Amino acid sequence: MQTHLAPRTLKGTQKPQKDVQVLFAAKPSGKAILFIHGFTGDAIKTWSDFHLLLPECSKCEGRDLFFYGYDGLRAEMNASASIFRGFLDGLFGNTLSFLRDNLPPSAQRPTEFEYSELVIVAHSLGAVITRRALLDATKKNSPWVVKTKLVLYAPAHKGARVAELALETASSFTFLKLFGAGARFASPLIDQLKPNSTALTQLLAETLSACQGGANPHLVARKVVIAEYEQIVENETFGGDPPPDPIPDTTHTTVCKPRKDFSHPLQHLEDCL
Amino acid sequence: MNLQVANFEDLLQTYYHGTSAHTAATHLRNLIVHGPHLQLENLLRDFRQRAIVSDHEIKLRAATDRLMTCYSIMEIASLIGFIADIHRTEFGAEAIIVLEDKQVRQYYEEFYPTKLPRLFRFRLTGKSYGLSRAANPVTGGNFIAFLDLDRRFMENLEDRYLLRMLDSFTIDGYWFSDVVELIGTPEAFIDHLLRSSEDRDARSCALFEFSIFMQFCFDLKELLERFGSQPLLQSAMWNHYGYWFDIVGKQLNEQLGAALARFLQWEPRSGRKEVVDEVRTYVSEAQTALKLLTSRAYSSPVDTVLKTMEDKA
Repeated sequence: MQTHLAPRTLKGTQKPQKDVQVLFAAKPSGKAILFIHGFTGDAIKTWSDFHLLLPECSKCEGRDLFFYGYDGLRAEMNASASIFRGFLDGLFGNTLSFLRDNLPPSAQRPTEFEYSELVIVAHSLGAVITRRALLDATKKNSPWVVKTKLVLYAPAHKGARVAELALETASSFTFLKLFGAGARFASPLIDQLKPNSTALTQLLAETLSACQGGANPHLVARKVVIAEYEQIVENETFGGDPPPDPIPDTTHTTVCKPRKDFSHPLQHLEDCL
Repeated sequence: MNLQVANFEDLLQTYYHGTSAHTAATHLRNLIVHGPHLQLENLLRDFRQRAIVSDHEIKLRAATDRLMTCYSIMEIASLIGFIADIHRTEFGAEAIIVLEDKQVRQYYEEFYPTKLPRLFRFRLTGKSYGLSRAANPVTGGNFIAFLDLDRRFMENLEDRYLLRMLDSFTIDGYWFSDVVELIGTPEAFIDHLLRSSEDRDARSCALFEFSIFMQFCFDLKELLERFGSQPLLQSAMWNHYGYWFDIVGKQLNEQLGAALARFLQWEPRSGRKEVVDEVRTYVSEAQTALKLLTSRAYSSPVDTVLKTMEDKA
């Protein structure tokens, strides 16, 4: 049974610079899931085959599925977070105009339609971008921020070795990582994501402060999934996040890729819906 | 919401209004209905007899190719019931005028022999009952996987550097052989691959797209295997990329095969055997995927249906 409309690239005034792919639910429930990738890659491909398996999962039938794209290899982290926050502002604040621009005429939604819940699923650098965006939205008292839930895969919020990842993620030639050329790669993220960098230390301190006394529970991850053979990010727990759930036999890049015969990443997400 | 209607509106937006297909449809229909017919014959001539050089003609022929792509996708979508019968729609009425025209038929049947527009013509004239029955119902999710793959093809590969080079064009003075040469030197290859989009030249762009195209081949192969129990649909999906894997398939296989073989000459500084093995495995899998896709292994079911339909006609 078809539960979602055909995939489309977001258009209209609220489209950020990089592409966002969307699968709109045929019978919308007012809930959505947004995937935000790590250092680089196609907004959907990073998460394959989430986009194929999720529509078949009963808990996702009515949920819109967003795959957010940004330059994860070269863009400055705080700027990416700010652009992402702007996108979420538009998604929640101008929902109807956003839908009008992107849904076919016969699938338009009633004027009272709004999103009541957005589960943000973030991989690697995407976790840092999301944490910064949600923290800043909380400070600005954005009303939508309490509707978000955070699920993280191999988050980079305690530091990452970006240069090592550049070759692995810059193309589909999987063997390139073995020819190491990280030293030639330049990106502000190399410094920003070093363990104990100023940016990450500040992110942790601000999050802990915002969550004091159980406040702002949306800033605490519902679940943190980590890879058994992680070589890119530090797997330490961040602030008040729950202890991580490891997936055996996975690496930094495979931990967020469910398949028909490998459903662990999908099961972890389903637990949070 | 009527899902078939919404699906049709979506496909129409993506493949017709969202591309130059609608420009071609309007232009062709006007020439067919109002003439002069010589102008149509000239526009859609065999490029081997007289080259296409004017910008106007190049654009209109490219738009005509987009229109044929649109008809192809509508045929596959109709085949599996993703959309309802469209011969009574405005789009269907226009399509039949275009597809039945003698000059247009020569273009898509002889000069660029693509098969799905031919099947679509039969469907629009009500001669495709057997086709609908031949396909089992497909879950929307599986077809959505195909649409997602095609979206990536359209956005990242179609009309871009790599495919134009593989189609014997030079860009900024570079041939595909220049890209192959670049692959011969790991340092140069990595340097070009890691360049930011502003710093890329035609070779870097083609190199970057080479990686995307190989991933596309792996994904298409996997998708076609998933549709193994529905050979007609599988064949139709392969035919959607018929220009690349059939018409110029041999050339594509040879050129990309040569490019992939250059990876085998790479020598890791460490000299580690596992590095060499991983490169060999990748190259072998990539060459196997290419060989399969360009082998016409998926051609027969559509060919058979087409022959039956044409014999009946």
